[in-house]
Amino acid sequence: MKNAIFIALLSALFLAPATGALAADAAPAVKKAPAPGSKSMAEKGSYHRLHGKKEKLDCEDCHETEPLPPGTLKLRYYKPLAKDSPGPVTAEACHECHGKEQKKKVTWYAPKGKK
Amino acid sequence: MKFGRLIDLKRCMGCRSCVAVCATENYFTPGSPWNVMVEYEVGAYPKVKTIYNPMGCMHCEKPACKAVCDYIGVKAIRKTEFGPVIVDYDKCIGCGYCGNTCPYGVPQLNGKKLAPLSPGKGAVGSEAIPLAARHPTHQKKAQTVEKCTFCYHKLEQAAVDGKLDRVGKDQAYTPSCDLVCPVQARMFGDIDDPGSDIAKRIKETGAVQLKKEFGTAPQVFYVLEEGAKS
Ligand code: HEC
Ligand code: HEC
Repeated sequence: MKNAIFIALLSALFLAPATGALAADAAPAVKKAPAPGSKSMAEKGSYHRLHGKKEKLDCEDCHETEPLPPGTLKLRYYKPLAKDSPGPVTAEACHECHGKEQKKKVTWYAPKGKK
Repeated sequence: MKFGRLIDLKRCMGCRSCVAVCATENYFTPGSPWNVMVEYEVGAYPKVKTIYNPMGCMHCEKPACKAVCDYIGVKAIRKTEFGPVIVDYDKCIGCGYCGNTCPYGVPQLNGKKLAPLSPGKGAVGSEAIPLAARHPTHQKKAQTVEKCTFCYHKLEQAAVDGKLDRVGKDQAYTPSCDLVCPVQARMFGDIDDPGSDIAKRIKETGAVQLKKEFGTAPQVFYVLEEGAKS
């Protein structure tokens, strides 16, 4: 248990500067996707434009509202968040859509529910 | 012939030798590790235990990272003949899609400048080796993605020397992380050959791949400790 607390503290320390918006008593979460061209993940902002505007996803559909728990099988699960990020993202959020055939070839995984 | 790895969580005691040796073997870039130790507790008092789960690239049969990279036309990721999934740093545009699509969050995007090992002290250790003198997988670049290669430089050498049968056995041809484990929790070899040591051990132990539900068919197998996540 000591260990878990230590890890929780550690992740809290790591995440603290970037996750102000996550604290329960903090100001309302920033509800603005990165501006086109301003961020690396979103090359010309197209990533958030596609998923947010076109696919009408909410930030919370992909971004967790809490730090990832210890034991999340993600390399570097404690990676500090980018500035203004509403929370960490795991691929579980992508599976639903990208596990099935779409009009465009955006299938990266096997269908959800199958093993 | 298809190389794969077995990691026995029942044996792993979390010493991180595999992480440390990877850092030296593969010219560790701070902030972009290739091998990490995920650690968590399972069970309830008084039967609590810690699970140590070393994680690197799973070198999937159907890599999701490659699927996105191909989809956007960049094609910087390739699946090589013997299994390793390799990033071409010259083609990578640094969009970071692969890292976010990978079920295991493996590909690591370097920052605008490669972080120095020892800030303010100039080039330290392997940093001092000129880029051009290194294997292509060690020619690190800013704003480019990097990840575990299954020590591709060693496998390539084995192929050149005609010693592919010695992979997983000889030091020169075996990934460093698998060599240094003091409790033999790691194994590397040909998972295609049912007669190989690794294939036999996977079968004996009932080792599984992590997050199988994504269907990417990883080439790294884990012997799970009771209660461990998969
Ligand atoms: C389709 C899933 C998805 C949705 C919906 C989404 N994001 Fe993201 N977002 C991501 C991913 C993936 C990253 C990169 C994650 C990382 O590096 O931690 C990211 C990163 C970010 C970042 C960091 C800057 C960057 O580009 O790396 C910010 C800021 C951000 N998101 C804001 C938002 C806001 C605000 C919303 C809601 C309007 C939103 N996101 C909706 C997936 C999503
Ligand atoms: C609601 C369904 C949905 C979810 C959830 C979703 N996506 Fe997508 N994604 C799509 C669709 C549809 C497209 C194709 C959009 C287009 O090109 O018009 C797409 C496109 C993409 C692209 C290509 C972007 C480009 O520049 O062309 C990437 C990369 C991607 N998704 C990754 C992810 C990741 C990573 C997640 C999880 C964090 C995620 N998606 C979650 C539906 C989804």
